[in-house]
Amino acid sequence: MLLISCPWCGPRDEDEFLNGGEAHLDRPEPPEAISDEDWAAYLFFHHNPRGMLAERWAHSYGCRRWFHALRDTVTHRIHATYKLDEPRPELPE
Amino acid sequence: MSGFRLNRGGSDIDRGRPLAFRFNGRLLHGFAGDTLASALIANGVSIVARSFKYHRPRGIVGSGFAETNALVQLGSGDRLVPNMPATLVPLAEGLEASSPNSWPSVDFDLGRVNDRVRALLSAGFYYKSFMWPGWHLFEGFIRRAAGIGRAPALPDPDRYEAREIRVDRLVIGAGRAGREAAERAVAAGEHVLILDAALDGSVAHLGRHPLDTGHEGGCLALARTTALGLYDHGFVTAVEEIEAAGLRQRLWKIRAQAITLATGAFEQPLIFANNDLPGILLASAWQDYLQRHAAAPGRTLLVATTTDNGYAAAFAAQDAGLTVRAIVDRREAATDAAQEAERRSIAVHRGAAVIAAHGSRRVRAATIATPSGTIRIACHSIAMSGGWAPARQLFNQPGCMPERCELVGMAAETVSAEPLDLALTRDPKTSFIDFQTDVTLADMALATRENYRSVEHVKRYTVWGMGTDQGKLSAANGAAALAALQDSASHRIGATRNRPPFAPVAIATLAASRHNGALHRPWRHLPAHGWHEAHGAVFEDFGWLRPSHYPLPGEDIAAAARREAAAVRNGVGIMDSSSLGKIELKGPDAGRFLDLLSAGRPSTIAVGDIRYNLLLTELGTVLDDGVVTRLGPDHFLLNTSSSHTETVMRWIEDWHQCQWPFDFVTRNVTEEWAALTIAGPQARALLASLPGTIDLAPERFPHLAVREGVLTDHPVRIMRVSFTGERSYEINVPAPLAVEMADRLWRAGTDFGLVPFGLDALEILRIEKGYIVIGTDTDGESQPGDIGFRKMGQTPGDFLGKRSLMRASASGSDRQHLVGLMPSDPAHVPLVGAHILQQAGGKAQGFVTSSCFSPTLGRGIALALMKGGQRRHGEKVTLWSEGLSWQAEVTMPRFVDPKGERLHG
Amino acid sequence: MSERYSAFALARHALTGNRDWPQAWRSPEPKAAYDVIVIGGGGHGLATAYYLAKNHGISNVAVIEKGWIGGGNSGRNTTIVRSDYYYPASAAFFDRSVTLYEGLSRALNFNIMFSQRGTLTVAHSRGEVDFQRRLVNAMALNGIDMRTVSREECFRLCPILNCTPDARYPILGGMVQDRAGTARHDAVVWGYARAADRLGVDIIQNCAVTGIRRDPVTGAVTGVETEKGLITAPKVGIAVAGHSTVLADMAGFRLPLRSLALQAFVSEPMKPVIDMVVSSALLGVYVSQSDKGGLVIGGNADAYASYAQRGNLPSMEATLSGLIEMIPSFARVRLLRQWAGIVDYAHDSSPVLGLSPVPGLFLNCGWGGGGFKAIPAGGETTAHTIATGQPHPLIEAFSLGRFRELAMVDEATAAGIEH
Repeated sequence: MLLISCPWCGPRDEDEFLNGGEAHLDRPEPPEAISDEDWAAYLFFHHNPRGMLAERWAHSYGCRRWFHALRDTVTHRIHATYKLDEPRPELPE
Repeated sequence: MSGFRLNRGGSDIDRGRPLAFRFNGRLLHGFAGDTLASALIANGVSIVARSFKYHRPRGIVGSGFAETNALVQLGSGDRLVPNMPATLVPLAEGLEASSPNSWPSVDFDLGRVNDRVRALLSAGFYYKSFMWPGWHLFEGFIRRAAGIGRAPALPDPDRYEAREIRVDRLVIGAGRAGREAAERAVAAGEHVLILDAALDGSVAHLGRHPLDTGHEGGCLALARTTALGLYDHGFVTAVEEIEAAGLRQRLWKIRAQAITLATGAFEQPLIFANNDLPGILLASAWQDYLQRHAAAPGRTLLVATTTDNGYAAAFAAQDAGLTVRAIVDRREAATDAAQEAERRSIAVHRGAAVIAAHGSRRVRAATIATPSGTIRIACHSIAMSGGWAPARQLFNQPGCMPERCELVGMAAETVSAEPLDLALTRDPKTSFIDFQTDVTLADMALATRENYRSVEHVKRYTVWGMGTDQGKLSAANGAAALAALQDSASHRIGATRNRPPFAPVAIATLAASRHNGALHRPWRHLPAHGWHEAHGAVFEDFGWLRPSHYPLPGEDIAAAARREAAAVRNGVGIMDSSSLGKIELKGPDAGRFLDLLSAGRPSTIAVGDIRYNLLLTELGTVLDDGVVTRLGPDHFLLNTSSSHTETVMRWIEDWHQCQWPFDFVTRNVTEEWAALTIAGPQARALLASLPGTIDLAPERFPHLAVREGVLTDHPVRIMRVSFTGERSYEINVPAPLAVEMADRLWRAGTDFGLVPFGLDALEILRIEKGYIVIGTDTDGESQPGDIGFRKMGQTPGDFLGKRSLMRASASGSDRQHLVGLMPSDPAHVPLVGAHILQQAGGKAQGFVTSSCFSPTLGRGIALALMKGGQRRHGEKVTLWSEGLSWQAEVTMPRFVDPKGERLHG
Repeated sequence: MSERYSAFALARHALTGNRDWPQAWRSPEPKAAYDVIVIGGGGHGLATAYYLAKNHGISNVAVIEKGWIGGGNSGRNTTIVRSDYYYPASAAFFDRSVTLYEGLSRALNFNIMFSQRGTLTVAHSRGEVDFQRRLVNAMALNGIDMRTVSREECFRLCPILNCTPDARYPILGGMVQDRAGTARHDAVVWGYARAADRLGVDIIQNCAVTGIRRDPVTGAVTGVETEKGLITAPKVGIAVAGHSTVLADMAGFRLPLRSLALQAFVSEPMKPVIDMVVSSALLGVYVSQSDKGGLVIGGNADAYASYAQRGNLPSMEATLSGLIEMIPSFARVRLLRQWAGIVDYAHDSSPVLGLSPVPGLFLNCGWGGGGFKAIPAGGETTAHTIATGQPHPLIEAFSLGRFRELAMVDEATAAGIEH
């Protein structure tokens, strides 16, 4: 049971949240200008690292806000959570 | 001589409270404070169970969780528990227990024949045989022979509950180290939870201060509570035994800032021939039974040890007046304990080891290898101490260093077990590593020989450590054995991963947060549920509990639905549409946002108008359909399918927050509004008979328009939308007014023959019109063009899914299109799920998605998805379902009023 | 060399105290070069090596495993074998796998205990009964032995099902595949390993791959860097389930896969109580009983990316509450063990098989929670693809290219089933 710090509500149990996959993906626009490769890359070919992942979470059973988290997919340690308009934090090595 | 009760002593038992219980049908007696195990020892019961594979007689070997032999079947009927260690069962009046896995009895078990052909049943023998003529011919026998206890056969009458708690520090284990850690933490101002599996109240004195009073520090102590799992971020589960007032167990869900594991250590058995005989116990267990229960496992005792703990057992036995035949110590060096033994005139053999135990139904003697040769010593019991394995099961569960976690006390100590000397066992085939699963040293040697060398391979090949104790008494010895066999060091062998739960726990306990039965998932009721009940509705679960039909006496569901549907076509009906999703979007950018979200440009809807709308995924497939209503210049109402509301709401929030943070707000108002639909040729007349402020004249309130006002004193929002094909008014009222409004409509309806109709009638009406239900008449691949809305998919500008609709795959000729089907036999109603074949046979062309008997047409009709179906109207096809077939013709997906004239006026 | 296993051999060795059984497979040091390297010593990797040697005469093959063979999902799954898939391409592939399973014990001379006890999937609403009819008809037309069964038949097949009419989710019907069943997962791994070893394949354990070498000019694969040094080969296959994207990253391309933790549970051992594999899509649970007597229970994957092979509470609660709603008498049965494997899911829940963007590098991944049942056919078709350089006809629909073309084989959304 992860303990996730919602930037608005503070630390809450995992089962209040929905995961939204990789963060910082920008939807390519407009449709006429996007190649098939770029469209497929946007839809399917996401980063799936063994280690640090920037990912999206929604506090669905709380404030219903989306935010970002930096989480290690091996240890599950969450190094930071941050609002959508904040840049991805730098982590100390 | 088997076990017996001493005349005095026993710290845990209350001799003033005798208890009667039955074991294998025999009436026996014990005392309050006994466990089933101590009571069985006191009653001289040696053989408690039979082993898994060889059916060897087994007695009690340990105490507490450290028991792997003495599994019993507990209780009966709906309170049956299989495979319960007798050591964990508090004795109770009337308790019934029996030995599983033996026939005809545990004392004379025919399964023992397996022990005679042990060489044939070596580790993994089943992988090497039973291939001819076929595994299925043997499997039944193997299955019946395997397993241990009988499974409960009746639903469980007991209750379970879950509680959550947050603490600064969780201390697991209330031994000395745990208590000290808790006291230190409380003194430092922490809020502490300490738990211990102990049956008594030994932790109670630590206090029961409430934790959330805000005072400086505090401690909650839970007895009879066992930590089960150590999960991420300081989360721990534990089970508390309650056994009161129908409440059997409580699951604790603990979130701790810090965790102190004071889980102690498990004493380990020694490896020698016949080390599994009844009467051979762990030294710590021997002491426990003697001192806490005054139950002596035998009148004379031989101690086999590698630690001082064996001496402690010997001294305790001597103090209780029992005879200690000798202490056999693997260590050569003189110790204080050995000197004490000599002072007590107990014979000590240093640098010696028991190499075999003798006896058939329980131990009678042992052979000892000493530096000066082997000797044989008669004894009634053996206490063995093979060292201590720290109880780090919880600590090891995560598979990586757990966060905020410390080990204290014996759990923190490193073991320096004596390396195993393979020469010291007389017979590897009866030298048991894992008692319960009958894994011997010979099995491990065989696995090594066959190159199953990794601990995991050995475990899986021999089933070592896979019993109900999950290796608590076998992991260390197994690793030592492998080290010796593989000529390696024990720590290089590694260990298999510990997994939750720490000890077996009832499935119902783990599921306690999500109650089963009626509360497995809560019911969702319509605001006017009671009104429908009063009008004879039969309800069915469609995500919401909704009326399926309102049968008259003698009517079945089909007859009721046809009558209700006909009433709507010919007169007027009322149905509850409250479950339809209602999401409002309000703000200057609401229209612009909806344009990006929808195929169909909702921003071009005029205020007061309604338009059909499709939401697509980025793959261009239909996510949901519904109408969009423009209530004001900046105010839109989006209707969703009943079962998709939350999905769509999340969809909107996701795109709004993460991609297009435009200026508007959104709100799911589904449960704030009830919606009652009046449909049928008489609908307008009925509404007109009620007082209100809304002009119902069709030229000023046409189909696909919305009006707000007052109807019979109540504020309403009336939408002219239709899912029946009839003139239709959806009257939205604040949910608390639902019953009142339904009553008023009902009273007004008596003059018009108003009939309540349910979902089955609605099915008929909408299928006749070819109106689709997303997820029923579409599948996950359906795109707008497939269901007759190609133009919506070509709306200019960007919207979700647009780019995918521009791909070749979106216009392929074999896409599945929505079509109608008319069976050749008008009485036939096509089966939903029947597949469409070309008349000549061949590959499937599609499948029936919805069907009904149309009372309007007097025949069966269906909707279907069919390859290239839009170009195949008029084609004769075969419908096929599980070997049966019917003929049908492909048609437009519209059977009644294809031009939609009935909607207007 | 190893000898044939049989009841006769068992008896002979019993007489000599089981003292001279040969090794099931060797543990050789890796050679500097092979014709083919297969990364991943799970069921798929070992089966690929076996069929390369058996069907294509290519035995100069190394299977490289970072831990112990069968230590990934091959040894963590719930051992179910079935072919109740919706799309013709899936049905053809998985039915081939069931067919191979039927003859596998004898082909490998290793009893994998394939037990065709059948699967029963129950339906809880009229809509679900209709939906199952659609699935059964589609599958039957694809040649799969599926049938629908009535409510009464469900209770006859599994008398402990929740048959109370006021159940929260009453059982109204079901569908059955009789040829489906379970097999002993470790035995499948060991059987393929032993048979491949006999044909000359080198199985290299405890040897993690740390890099993939490519020709700087052609871009083609030339070998792999490992903890035991560089090993070269003109052809390399990847069969590492949840770690596929890690290997793809080493080779310099992306795969459309997400790694999730999928949990499983086993109960204490009991005498036979449930004969078939019984599941409910609505309740998100399936259960069978192993030959040892434990209930083997599975559910849905955790919903976030993970490489941690451990269980979690929320999915356990969902799975187990679903189980006791479906079979109330299991409430008092005690759970022994909870664990997880890392599964790799593609968007459409179908596997990704065949050619990769790197010449000479071949893919066997994207199995999601359904890789075990696919082992024989996955190995057979991957071996064919590696040997011939062309995708086997059974796997053409599962190419990596389908994502660019948006030509999915979407079992999850079309058929509503997560496999």
